[in-house]
Amino acid sequence: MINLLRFLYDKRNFLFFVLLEVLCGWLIFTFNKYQGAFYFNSSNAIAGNALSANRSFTSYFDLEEQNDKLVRENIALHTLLEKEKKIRKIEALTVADSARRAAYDFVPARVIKNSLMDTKNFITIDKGTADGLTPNMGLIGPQGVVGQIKYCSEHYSTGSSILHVTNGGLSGRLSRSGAVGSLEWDGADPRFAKLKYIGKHYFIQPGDTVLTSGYNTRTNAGHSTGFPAGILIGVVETVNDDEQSNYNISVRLATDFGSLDHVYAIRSKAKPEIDSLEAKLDKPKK
Amino acid sequence: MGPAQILRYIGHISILLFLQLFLFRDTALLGFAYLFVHIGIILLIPNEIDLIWSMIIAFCIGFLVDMFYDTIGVHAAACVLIAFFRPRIVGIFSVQGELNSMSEYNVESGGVLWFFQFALISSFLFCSLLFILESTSLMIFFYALLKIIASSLFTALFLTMYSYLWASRSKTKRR
Repeated sequence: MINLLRFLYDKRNFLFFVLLEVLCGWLIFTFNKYQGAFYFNSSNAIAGNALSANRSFTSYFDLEEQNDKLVRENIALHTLLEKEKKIRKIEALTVADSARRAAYDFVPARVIKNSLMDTKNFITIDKGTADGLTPNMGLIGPQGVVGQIKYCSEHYSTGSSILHVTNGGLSGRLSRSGAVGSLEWDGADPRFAKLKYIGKHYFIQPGDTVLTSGYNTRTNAGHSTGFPAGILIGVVETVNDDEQSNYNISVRLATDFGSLDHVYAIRSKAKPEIDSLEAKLDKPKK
Repeated sequence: MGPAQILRYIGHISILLFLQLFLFRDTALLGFAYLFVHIGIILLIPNEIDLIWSMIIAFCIGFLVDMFYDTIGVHAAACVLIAFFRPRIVGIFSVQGELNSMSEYNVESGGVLWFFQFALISSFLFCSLLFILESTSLMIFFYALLKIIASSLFTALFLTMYSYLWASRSKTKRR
């Protein structure tokens, strides 16, 4: 008996080694079959927290890249949405015309200069004619409508935001009643704009959403806007009926112009055709 | 074993674990040369520590690394293996009297080539067990062999460099 114990004591290192390896073998065969179902994997508290801390630290290094990715994904989604809308319309009309599908493209851009304090506020973005931008294209942000491009250079474009007094107006539709009016800014508060020319026969309430109408509105400057229908402009804040025939509607703009960063320029594929059609109206009759 | 040596060993543990878990976790040179720097923690265990305790340390290190790789038991088994064979591996290259005078098996005490051989054989053992446990069929045996050889070379080179840096650091300190 003493000999056996002595033998065990002499071989204690080896026996302990065998014991640990058997334990490891048991762990391998028990836990690895059902990964994720057990506690001891990378989703547990220790490893999970350490990994997420590591990720949260390293994620700062590729923030730029991640942003770009998200922007690109958004464009893809916007395009898909437009396609879907067109398809639904086409199906409703049972007109199969592939030329009308996905009538809008979205070009991502970063705002490099923006102002809120002037009465004529301009936005400068980092995309230009080299990226396919042309004057009169619409600009939208993640939250809603932003403005319209006025001038393009090769790599940059300048546009007026909604916060632009002589902008002539953006055609907006109240989603609930369907009434179409002109959205104009009075130069006072960058959070609010006025929706004009809505007749009193419509029932308007605070909280109604205002969307783009999709109309090819002719503005004072002779430009036409290029927004698809149904993009959020804002929400009705107050309604006054003190004017004579029209409501005085104040709209809380959806876009926070103070924190504007990523915008999309909207390229309408149908617009040249529509413009050339409408140009015939301007031509003096011979 | 003085407090300086204990502190230094804790330094090894922290540095090598950090490197392995956060920097080299998915490192694969040419797609098959992996880097397992956490075995350096086992190679650099102070010699005064009993073999049983060094195996326990190895098991804990392996287990911790396994949690990050989702391979419970695999790294632990391989770490315990090299912890157990460590005295025998150094015994190949040197006589007992030499080894007794070393407080830690590193570049400073045994030289660059000596440590490289020690690290190479240890990491070869480690990688062999690791990749054999990971590979499920003989079909990928040759690929596993390639991974074993490449990874053990890569790991041994890195650990020699690591230990060399510590050695040169303590030399400059003494001056």
